[in-house]
Amino acid sequence: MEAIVTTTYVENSFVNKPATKTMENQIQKTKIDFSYYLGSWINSYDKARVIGAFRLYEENEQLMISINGSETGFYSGDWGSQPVKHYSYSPTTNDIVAFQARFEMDGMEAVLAMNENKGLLIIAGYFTFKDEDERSSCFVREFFFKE
Amino acid sequence: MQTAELKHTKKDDLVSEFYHEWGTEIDSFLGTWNNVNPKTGQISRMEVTIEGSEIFIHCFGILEEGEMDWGPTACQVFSSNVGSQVIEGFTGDYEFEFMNVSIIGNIKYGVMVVQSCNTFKDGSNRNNYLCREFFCK
Repeated sequence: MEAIVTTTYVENSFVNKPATKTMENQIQKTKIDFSYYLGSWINSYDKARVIGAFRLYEENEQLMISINGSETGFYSGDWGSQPVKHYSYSPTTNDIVAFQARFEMDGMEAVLAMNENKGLLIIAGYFTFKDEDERSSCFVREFFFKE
Repeated sequence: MQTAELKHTKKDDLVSEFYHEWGTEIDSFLGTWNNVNPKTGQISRMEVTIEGSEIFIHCFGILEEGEMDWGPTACQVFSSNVGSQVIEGFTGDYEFEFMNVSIIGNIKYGVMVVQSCNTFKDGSNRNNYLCREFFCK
């Protein structure tokens, strides 16, 4: 009797080919090295619009970000810390090139999309003001170098 | 002077009221700019100085061990428009015996973006190449 072999693929939504999620990929995901990113990052612009500086660190194997708002920006002071999601360049690699974080603060929500480019960390921030605040939701892109 | 009397190749060549003068915003350009990429194989840092009315860039190429001092070279600076006193960009050239490095840079939000056009003239068949990197003070 001939053996019947069936293979089940899960289609990625963004590529038209079977996903290649192997055990090796799973193992790689546990070995991600964030050391290149860990530490303090400073806004290159002395009149920063939102974020003056931030720090990336690990806590209980979770990548975290703590932010200090720019003194010249519209939300100064300590924003506290939030977990950071990390992203590779492709589904089959673990070369971390981008991050995402979200802050819920008094009066404002911030969604931050970050990517690395040749030593710069670039943050694209989407800011929404709450309640009766009549300020427009806004988008800010800022540039950071490692201290 | 009637601005329309000036020769021009496009309307943005014309001044609206006054010619600009260099110098008022030069401080933000002067100083040492460091490549923010610790893994760079290009220019590790650039010093910008002024002597009299001439501005110089002084580049250092990264080597396997240490740096290669390229020396200073005069640069030409550019505003964002004919009436602006803010320096937006610059160009400079390095002419080595075996290659030419033509540099064009611009500054935005505290980041100096440096593009180098690298042309070999030693017959080594290496491809000429363009590189773009970021520098901060």
